Parts: sequence; C-alpha cells; structure tokens
Amino acid sequence: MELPNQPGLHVRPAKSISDFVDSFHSTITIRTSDMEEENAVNAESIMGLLTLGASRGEELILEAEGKNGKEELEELSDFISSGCGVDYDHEK
Amino acid sequence: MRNFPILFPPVVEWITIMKSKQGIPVVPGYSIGKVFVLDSEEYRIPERFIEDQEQEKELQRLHEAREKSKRELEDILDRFSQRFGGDTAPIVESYISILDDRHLLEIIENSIRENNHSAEYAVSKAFRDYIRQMKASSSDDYVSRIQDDVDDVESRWIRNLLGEQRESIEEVEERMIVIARKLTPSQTATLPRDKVLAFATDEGGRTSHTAIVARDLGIPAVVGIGDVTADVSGGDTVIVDGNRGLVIVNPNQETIDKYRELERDFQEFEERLLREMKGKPAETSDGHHISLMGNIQYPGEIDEALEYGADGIGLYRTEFLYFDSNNHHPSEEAHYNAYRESLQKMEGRPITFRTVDLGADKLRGNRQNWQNNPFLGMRGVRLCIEHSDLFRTQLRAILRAALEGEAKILFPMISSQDELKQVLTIYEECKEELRTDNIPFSDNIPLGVMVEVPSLALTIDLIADDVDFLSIGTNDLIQYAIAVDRTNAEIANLYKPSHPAILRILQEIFETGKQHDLSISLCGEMCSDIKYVLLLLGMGLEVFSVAPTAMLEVKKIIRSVSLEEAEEIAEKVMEMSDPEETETFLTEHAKRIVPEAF
Repeated sequence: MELPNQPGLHVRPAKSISDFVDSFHSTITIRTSDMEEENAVNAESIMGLLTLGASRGEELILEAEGKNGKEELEELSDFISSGCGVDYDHEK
Repeated sequence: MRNFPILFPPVVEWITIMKSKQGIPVVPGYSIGKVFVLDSEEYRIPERFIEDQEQEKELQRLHEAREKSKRELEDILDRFSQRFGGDTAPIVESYISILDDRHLLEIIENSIRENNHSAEYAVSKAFRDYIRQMKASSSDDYVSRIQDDVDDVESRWIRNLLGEQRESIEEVEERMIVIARKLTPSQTATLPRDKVLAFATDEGGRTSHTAIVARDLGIPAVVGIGDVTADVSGGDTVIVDGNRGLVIVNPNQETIDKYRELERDFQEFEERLLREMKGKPAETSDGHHISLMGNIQYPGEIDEALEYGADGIGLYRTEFLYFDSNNHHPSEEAHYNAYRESLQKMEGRPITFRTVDLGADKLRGNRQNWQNNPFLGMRGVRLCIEHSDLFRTQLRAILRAALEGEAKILFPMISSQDELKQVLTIYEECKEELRTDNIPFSDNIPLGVMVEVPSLALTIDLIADDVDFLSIGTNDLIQYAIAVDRTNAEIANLYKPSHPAILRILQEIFETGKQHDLSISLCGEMCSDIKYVLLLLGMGLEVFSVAPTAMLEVKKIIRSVSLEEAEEIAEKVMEMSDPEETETFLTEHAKRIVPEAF
C-alpha cells in the first residue's frame, strides 16, 4: 500500500501508527518494498517506523502474524491510507 | 537489529568498530585523544562502561531518568498546550511515545546488560544508531527534520541521567578532542583553550569560524565531515588527521601506533622549520623584502605572532569584545584598554584594527532580527552606520589608544563610495567630540578598507583618494564573487581561489591600487596556502597577513623563490582559464620549490 502523508512518515504519523496498533492482538511488521523481509520493523516501535524513511507515495508492505491478524491488517491499512489520522492543514 | 561488520576479534566483553570519516582538512597536524561532544547543552558522557555488579543500579537509573523525562514532557504539555500552535502538542506527545518505545528500551537495556555500557552511553549509542539507519534509508531533508526531534528526547534523557553530575569542559582533567555539529563564535570564545587538543565538526569549510579558531590555536582541525557527531559518543577515542582531513573513530592499536609516529615526524618538521626560519627576514631569494604580518582573533595571540617573527598585526579582529553573551555593549574603556595593551606589546610594530564585523543576530544575542541571508545583510559597517553609538564607542577608543603605538584602522565590508563617506563622516565627528572635550587622541591614523565585496573591488578608483591602504579579504571576496557559502561543506569544491574571475579581480585591485599609490595587503586564507603564495608574490603582493601558525611556512616559501620566477609563474597563470589546471600548475611549482612542505 502507499503512504499518502505529505512530508512522509515522520514523527507524528509514526506515533499515530504505533498508538493504533497498541491494542492489537497480532504483531504487525512494516517494511518498504526495497527492504528484506527480515529487516521489517515492528509497527509498535515509533523509532523503528522512523527508520523506514518512507516518503510520500512510497510503497509499504504490511504483514501480520497471530490472532486477528487479517482483520487488524485491514484496519491498519485503512488507517494509513487515510493519512494516519494526521491533519496537515496547520503545518507551515 | 543490524549487523556490524566485525573488523577484529572481540576484546573482553565489548566490540568496537573502527571507522574512518573524511572531511576537509583545515589545520595540519595529528591528534589522538578522547572525545568531548560539544552541543548546546555542553554535556559529556563521563563513563562508557560499568562493572557487572553495577548493572542493576544502572538499569534503575535509566528508568528513573526516563520517568523524569516523561514527567517533564507531560508537564510541558499541560502547562503550555494552550499557547502552542496546532502542531506542537502532538509533537511533544510523540516525544513521550519515543520514551515509551519498547523496542528502543529493549536495545538500551541489552546494551547495559550484555555490553556493560553505562546508561548514558547506552542511550546515546542507541539513538545514534537509529539516526545512522535513518540516514542510510532516507533523504537528508527527511533526516534533518527528524533529527532535531530525536535529539531533543535523547538530550533530555541524558540530562536527567547526568543530573547533578553534569560536567562542562572546564571541569575536565585531561585535554580532549572537541567534536560538534558546528562551533559558533561564542562557544569557541568560552572554551578553555588549554583543554582542547583538536576540533572536528560536521559542518563548515576552509574559512568557517571553526577553521579560523583552530588555525589561531595551532591545533589540528577537520571540518565539513557531514556526520561525525552521529558516530561518536563522549569518551570515545579518536584520531584527528588534519593533514588528510580524516577522523578515525575507535582506532585499533595498529592505527594508533602509526599515527603516533606521524605525530612525532610532524612535530620534528615543525621544530626544524622554527629553527630554520626564526629571526630570518621574509625576503625573496633575490632580495625583495616582503612584510609578513599576523591575523589574530584575540589579543592573547599577539605573543605568538611576534614569536614567529611577525612584522606587525595585519588583521586585528575586534569581535572578541562582543563574544561574551552577557555583554552586548562593551564600554569605551573596555575597548580602549584592550587596544592600548595590545599596542604596547608591539614595540613599535603596527596593528591594523578592523572595526567590528558582526551580523545583527550576534549583536542582539537573540533571534529577533532573523535575516535570510546574513552574509548579504545588516553586518559590518552597515550595522555600524545603522547603530552608530556602537561604532562611535569603538572609534573613539581606537583614536585614543593610537597614541600608544602604531595603529591603523580597517573598515570591513564596504560596498560603495557612499558607504565609505558615511563611515568617514562618523569618524570625523568622533574626532570633533574628543577635540571639544579635550581628550587626547591621534589625528593621523592611516585608514583602509577591506576589499571583499566585488562592487568595491571593481571601483577602487572611486575611493582611492579617501583611504591610505587596502586589505584584500579573499575569504569573503571569493564567496561573494562565485556565490559560494564558505561554510557549506556540500559545495566546498566550488570555492576556488584559482577561478579566473578571482584572479582577474585581484589583478584589477593590484593595478588600480598601485596607480593610486595605495599600499595593498591580503589577509585571507589564500595567502597562507603555499601554492597561492607563489602566485600572489608574482602578482605584486608585498604584504602578507596570515595566521601565526602559518607564518614560518609562508616565510620559507618566500625565501625559496626569486621575485623574477614568481612573476613568470603569475604571468602564465593569468593566461589559464581552468581553475583545476591552475591549481595543478601552481602545486607542481610549489612542490619543486619547497619539496619539504609536501
């Protein structure tokens, strides 16, 4: 899936994502399409998400493991496509 | 999380990785020592490693500091969230989330448990590793946006860890290698100079402030490395190779031994040079006398300049009086005393005082007067004309102190005939005031202008009658003429004294200056560069003003060549149009004439 956020995946959207998956039962990992599977980061870790350096429009690959994985994966995917709940209108 | 290449087998419980980083060499020499990372907080991590039995305590400290940092941030949110604009609250919340990041915490705890790192070192290292990873996978733009946020959390956590024990460099026992993103004038002014072995910075160029200070101190320096601060933590051992522009982090024993030898050889070379050159005049091999003067930033450097045989101080920078951030307006007496003492040390040799060359931001000490282009803005004489009380204070002090010795006055950044006229009007008014109040002063101080703005360089004839001498400031002249920020490491390769435009401008200055009988000196870094000394000699420069540490080498070159030969070299160069070709040509001749210097 593609990251729609303007300045890319920096601190605010990273936090939003890590908060969002906090209540999940499954473990979700994210990586950019040019990364190896074993290097994917855990979506809970805000610092890990920041190392993805994902910029706008970049393709992200999400994987889920464990209970409720399928539903939670979809929820997260929707959340990210809609901008990670971050409103950039006030940003200069 | 990532695999480090292991360069040599683990020793004891820890693995260190030797890493070599390339930057711009600005002051030659070698230095091996421990790192002091200078940032705006000026903290140093005192210990990197702990004993096994201290691990539990260290983990406890780690968490306490983490909780404290969280509370501080929550407090900020509570108290200030009303005042902030839309963005700030969510950002502060993000900082709190970083502190809650379980993965980050796990990495840090492992660092303590498995590598016996101290809490401070573990935190610092973890963040630096993350930043490094980010840099590997993202654009510079992205990283710099994130870096400030991450730095904030890191420094808060470490500050809380250090607590009462925060150490500033003054308290440090041994001399250390100072590493920073960049060094501002006020930071270097307050650094205890006897504690610094060498400098290495992320930013900066050959003529940036760091380079100037290091040169004046005579210590090795490498700038424009890009990201050395990301790879070092306080307490790391590094080697600074000021000859090749390298910084080697955590060198292995073999490398350390190699560098100790290089250091010894270099010191021998310097001592030999001193023995050879001391007391000898700066004269070409066919007997033409050249004036060799010193560039200084602080009056304390006069002794060194005189020791190396300076004929005078060609550039006495006066900004030091303004570096103490508590005092924006030093009194006339403060100026007067400094100048008087300096002149008295010279035993008749001249001092050329450059009137204050500061930007508006430095003066106010805060960001109220943010300028987009400080180099092109309200600075130098423009600032002095705009805030003339400051200017008058300084001028009066110089006028009075000039009775104690041979003084000259140099006005920086003049860009037009009109600007100079305004300056001279103020100068005359100061004299009038002193005369009226019966305060003794010197009435015939030679006056000069810094030729650094291209508009002035091309209109010397228009100001020739109003001044007695010219001082060419190539550092800024090159910057303005080629449009290259001399502190920007990314475009450092564009900053070329050998650019034909610069050579033509210089030629123009020399010709017009001589036509009008003006004495011409050059005080930029260009004239302490071996290859350009030959060229400048050949173009007719008779007064070289250089940093004290460059004096002996410049003298040696002058003594090794005849004026005739220098003129031949200059003639050939003026026909060249490729800066690279010019540099190669000049370097070849320099190598031939002074092989020992290479």
